[in-house]
Amino acid sequence: MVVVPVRAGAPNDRASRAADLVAGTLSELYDGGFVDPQGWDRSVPDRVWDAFAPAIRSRAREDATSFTVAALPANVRRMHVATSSLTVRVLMGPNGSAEAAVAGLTFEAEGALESGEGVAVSSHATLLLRPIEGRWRIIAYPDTGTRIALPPPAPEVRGPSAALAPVAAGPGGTR
Amino acid sequence: MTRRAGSGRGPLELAAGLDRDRRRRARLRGRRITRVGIAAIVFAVALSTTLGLLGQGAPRRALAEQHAVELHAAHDASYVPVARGDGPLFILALGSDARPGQNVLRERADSIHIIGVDRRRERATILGFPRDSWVPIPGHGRGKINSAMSIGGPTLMVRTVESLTGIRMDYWMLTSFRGLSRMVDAVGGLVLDVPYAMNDPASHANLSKGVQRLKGWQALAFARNRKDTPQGDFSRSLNQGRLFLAALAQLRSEFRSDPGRLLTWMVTGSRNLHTDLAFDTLLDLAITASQVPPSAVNNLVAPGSSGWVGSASVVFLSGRASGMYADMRADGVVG
Repeated sequence: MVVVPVRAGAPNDRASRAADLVAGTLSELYDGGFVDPQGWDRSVPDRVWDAFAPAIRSRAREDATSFTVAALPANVRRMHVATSSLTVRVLMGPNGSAEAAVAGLTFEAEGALESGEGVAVSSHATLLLRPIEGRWRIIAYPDTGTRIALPPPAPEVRGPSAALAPVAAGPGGTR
Repeated sequence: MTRRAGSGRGPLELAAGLDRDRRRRARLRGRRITRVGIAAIVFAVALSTTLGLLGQGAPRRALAEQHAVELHAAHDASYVPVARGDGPLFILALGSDARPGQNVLRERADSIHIIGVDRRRERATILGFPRDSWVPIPGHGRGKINSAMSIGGPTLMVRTVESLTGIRMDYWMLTSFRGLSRMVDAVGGLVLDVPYAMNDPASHANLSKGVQRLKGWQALAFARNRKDTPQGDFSRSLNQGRLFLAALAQLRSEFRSDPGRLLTWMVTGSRNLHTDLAFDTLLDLAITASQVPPSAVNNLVAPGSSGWVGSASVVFLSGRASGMYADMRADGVVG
């Protein structure tokens, strides 16, 4: 972990601890949403939504496809994170406690469907978090996005020129 | 299995630490903040690592081994909730004319604005008062509105505005000449459409007309200039509202490109504002402000006319101002 002060002041243990907790919340969110197919049954496990503040939880569920691949109709057998990065900026209040955090996260994962086909996922998110009801929870997600890539269908179906052709899909638009 | 990078503690220890913080915050939350931000620090904690999100220990099957992939789906989402509430929200925003060494809380108010927020419809009104407005000051007869602060600090200032308008203030916030200048500099200057050229030696306002990025001292000069304006005190108050709007537009724009900028604005504000807003409420308002388009905000000045009381030049607020107060009282906005 690298602690980088962006305002005057020495690195602060409480900021580091808060960053650990934020990382914990996000690990649970993305672990549950992307990496752990054991908990999926073509729906998102409830524990995933615990990362969100109660006030925005129902809205986050509406945007589920941005936070998880668990809602995909295709069965995912396994997922595996290839690369990831997380940056957490922590706002310290006047009493020295961590009041809010902005987290920037990116990762790329690879995996396999039950059919044996490969699947690649890349995701990014910028999230606002605050301590609510005993843990750091997401209070807003100004920017999130998930891209899912699959091998193209057999050439006789689509033709070789179809490879890498983008398929646009808005929120909620899954196969 | 998930392992948090950089953390050697177990979940129970982390939870216990957080509980201690929450209890301490709960004790402190009731305390009114008169000057926040001395200890406010933003840290960037960069965790650049494989997060430990590795799941099942399955052998890698890199898609690169396959000849081609196609984008199957792209899902983007964005949601930033604004502060909700049943009734309108009113904040009295003040600028003290204290010079270096003087008590910021006990000098005259050079800038006096009610910021009314209609939380239901996400609209707002900034209503300014000419500083020479001749008004009743509770317990002190009549006087210029700006003198209420030198007599009784922000508390009497709030009571004076409440008595004048019939609008109950939820919060107040106050900055100084130096505070304003520092805030503007800390956010990298403020982009403002200066409505007319200014050349006023008294305020040091020397600005050409048009859109430009102002440094802190220039923003302060713009806010203080009343001599080289079309309508003196009224124009000055309107220009001060323009600064609010410019800050709102800039916060909104910066938040869109980097939400982390909100933290910089919070630190800057908390270091240079005196307020009775709790820090977490200030943060809620800052998040809300980042979502409000300037086009949803009216910038107005209470109307009136200049006159004299003895040898003092004053402003007599008109009956039309009373109508604006009544309108604003209902839902937070005029119009």
